[in-house]
Amino acid sequence: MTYSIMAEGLVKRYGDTVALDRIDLAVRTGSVFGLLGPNGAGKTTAVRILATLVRPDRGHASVCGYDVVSQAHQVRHFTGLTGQYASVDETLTGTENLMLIGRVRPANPADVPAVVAIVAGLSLAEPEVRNTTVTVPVSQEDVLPGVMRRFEHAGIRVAELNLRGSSLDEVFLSLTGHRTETEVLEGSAA
Amino acid sequence: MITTVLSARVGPVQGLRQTLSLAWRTLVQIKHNPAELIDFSIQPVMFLLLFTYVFGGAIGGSPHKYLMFALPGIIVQNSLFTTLNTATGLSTDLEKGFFDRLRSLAIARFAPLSGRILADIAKQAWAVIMLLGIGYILGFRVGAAPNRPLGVLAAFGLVLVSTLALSWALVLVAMLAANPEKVQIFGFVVLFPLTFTSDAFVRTASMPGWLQAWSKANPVSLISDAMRGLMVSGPAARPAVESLLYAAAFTIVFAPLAVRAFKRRV
Repeated sequence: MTYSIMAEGLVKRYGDTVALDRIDLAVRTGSVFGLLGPNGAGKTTAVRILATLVRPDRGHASVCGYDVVSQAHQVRHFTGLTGQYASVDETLTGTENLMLIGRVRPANPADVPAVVAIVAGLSLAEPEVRNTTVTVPVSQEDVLPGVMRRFEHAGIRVAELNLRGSSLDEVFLSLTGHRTETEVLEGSAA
Repeated sequence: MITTVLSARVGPVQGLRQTLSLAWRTLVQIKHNPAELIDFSIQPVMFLLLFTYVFGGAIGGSPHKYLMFALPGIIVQNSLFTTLNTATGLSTDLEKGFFDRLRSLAIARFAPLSGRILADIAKQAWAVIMLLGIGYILGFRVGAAPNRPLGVLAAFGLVLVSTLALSWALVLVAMLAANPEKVQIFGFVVLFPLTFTSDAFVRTASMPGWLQAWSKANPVSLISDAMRGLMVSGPAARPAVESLLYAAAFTIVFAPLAVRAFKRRV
């Protein structure tokens, strides 16, 4: 398969507002794809359609060969989503967040070393991962949003261990520092 | 690339396991947010103590007599108020995008909803056991009939089932309201009058006629009456059946509406 994501003529209306107007998309397997556009361009709507959260009014799309409407459940095996807003549970610790995702979607035991590596890759000290709820500032306040974001991405990668696509909406929202951005891109391409 | 055939849906066993995991998530939150513990442990005890010792003498003749009358009602009141947590919790998850996160995973569609409800049933059960325990310390005794333990168990089941059914209306509100604060306000505006215009706390004889008429039809009265009948004394069968009819009606009307609103919202 050459393309992981294919979309043709996606249309989505909310009342009189046309959120998406005939979008076509083809994303090559193994690539990192950035969807850019001004506010209100429909980026979030497009990502939500590809993540099976919203049904398009017209057009169709497929992810890894499965239709996002008629085969939504299969598509969800391949996709991971971190929404525009933080989608970790702020009242759980980082580890508990990862455990939750791991439990509702059990990973292969063989993947455990990979999970450990992902957590290690968060560049956080062990006790912080284990004991800190995500909302508690770790050392300085401005670290916090970046930490939350990293847990989100780690959650996605725990869920998506056997290669799959990830849809990251507003990937760099609140990521701190250039190094982390690079890490995310490398992580996605890996 | 794909070696196994992916199933098109989640099996019932998997769905149940995901429900349990999401219930775990709601319960483990308590560890990090002790304020929540106050919500469903200390608050009911506070209600029980205040009602028994402040109002008890004035309403029931003596704190002890009043406790025998009011404890079943306080259990109903507390269980009903706990369902508000289900609604605000769901609303918070929707608002923060956590539901999007869950629903983009290959898990059962009902799991986020059923996980939350299951966790709240566990909290309710805990609160009921605690109210019975503290009530016992304060002097509450179940009636003398030989099959009382069964009666208490039946009362326990009845209050969980009927308040769960009534909570579908609040779940619907949670799906329609913009944020948890609105759900909270709406819930209180509805639950307070509903509970206080019943015979959960007082006998209705001193109420004006129109209010008595309403109180007789109020589901909170029916559940409270059934609880009294099952745990202490008095008729139980009729109010219990009527409570269950209410429960069935609320579930039939509000559960589909709530699920539909849930699907539209996310």
